[in-house]
Amino acid sequence: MRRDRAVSMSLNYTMTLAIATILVTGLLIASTNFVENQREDVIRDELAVIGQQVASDLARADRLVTAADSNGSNLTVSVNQTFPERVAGSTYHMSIDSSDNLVLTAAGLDVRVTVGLVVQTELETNSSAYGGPVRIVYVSTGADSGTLEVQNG
Amino acid sequence: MADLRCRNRGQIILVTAFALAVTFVALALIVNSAIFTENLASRGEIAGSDDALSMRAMVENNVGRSIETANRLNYSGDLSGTVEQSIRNVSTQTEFQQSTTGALVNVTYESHRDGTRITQNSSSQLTFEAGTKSDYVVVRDVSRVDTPGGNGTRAFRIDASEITATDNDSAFEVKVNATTDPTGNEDSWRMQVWNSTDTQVSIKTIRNDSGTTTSEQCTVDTNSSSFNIDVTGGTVNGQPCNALRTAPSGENFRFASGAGDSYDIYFRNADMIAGNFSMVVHDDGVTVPDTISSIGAGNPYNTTALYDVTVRYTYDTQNMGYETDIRVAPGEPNA
Repeated sequence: MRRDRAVSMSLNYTMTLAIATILVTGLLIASTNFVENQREDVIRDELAVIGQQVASDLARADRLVTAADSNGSNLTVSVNQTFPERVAGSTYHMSIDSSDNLVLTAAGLDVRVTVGLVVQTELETNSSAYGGPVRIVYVSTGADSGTLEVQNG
Repeated sequence: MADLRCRNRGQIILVTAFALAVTFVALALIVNSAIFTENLASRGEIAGSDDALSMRAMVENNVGRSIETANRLNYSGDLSGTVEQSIRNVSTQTEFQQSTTGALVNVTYESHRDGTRITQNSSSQLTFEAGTKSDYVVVRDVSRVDTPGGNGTRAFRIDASEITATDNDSAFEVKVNATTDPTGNEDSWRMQVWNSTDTQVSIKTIRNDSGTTTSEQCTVDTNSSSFNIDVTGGTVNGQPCNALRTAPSGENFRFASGAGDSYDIYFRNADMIAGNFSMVVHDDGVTVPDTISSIGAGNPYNTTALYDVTVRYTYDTQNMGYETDIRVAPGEPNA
């Protein structure tokens, strides 16, 4: 008696291919997910670091404004720093919201980092900047008053 | 039938391997980004930002010294011109020195306020008219530079070689009254100085704010026989005195606090203290009694002086720009 009765070669072949394909697809999906997750984590960490750097620049500018004897149009304060334009391949964007927080968002992904700010000078809500060279400027809003803004440049 | 002799086998495994390789390359880029994040996190302060503030303090100090020197030595000449020239010199030297560290500094004179300096340097009793008057008006109508809360007098210092009173009943008193109520006690600030023992000086400050009276007293131990009382600075022989500063209760006892927007200064019982004193008041139409006018009479006399000077201070580095006015008034009581 032959050992391979009721065995069709093509069925064998097809089943092997199908099982192999399923296993391989599973492996590819898992590794892609893994890389995506890692990317998201790295982007979140890097945005947090950039956010803290911008917050410390804001605190520095605030110190200079409070120490000044003049204000409004008589006072000039600007602090610059250059940040990387992309984080892990994604561009990002930062802005100041109405509760004095700095919000950083990465384009295309659902990553959003918030950094709390504590300053004595008023902040310009909705001032925003993209990644790259970032400038904190004191902009006068009247003869005696002004706000701190985040700008590009 | 599968062709087992063919060399093209395992195609799916090959394709998988390629796809995984691409994934690993992407992972390498992400790891690279993570390493850069750590580098970014270790970056420190932008160079120059705290230097801007320490240089500002130095500029304030320098300009303050030149104001004091001009007041003391050049009162009969062009006071503001002298100080302006001195500021130019300091600015040029500082600019030259700082440019080697990559910062651009500039200080320019902007404006000033006139003042009057009232002083005695004959080391005698603080009376005037050859010792006949020990209760007198020192100056009237001193206006504050900023209402409310601004100051009108600065650098009021008494160098007492002898304090005769032993309790506060007959002690030497400096009284500051609101000009709108020169005879009453409402809106007044009074300071009494006496010698409680040989080595102790006591100062009591009484503040009358529209009828409500509060007072604070301090006693300073000193082992010297002369007493240097910095009335606007709040110290006696270098030691802080609560009766001339903000008291622990939170109440403000600094010179002339609560005495209205424009005030007069009186001395009472000036025969109970001997030594020298000096003060600079903001002159926006003050009245100095006739007998305190002439210099050289030996008794308190007055000269023109600068009350404060405002300069424009600029500090620029590659990553920072700072430009502001600084108002310099050495010896003003800190609000």
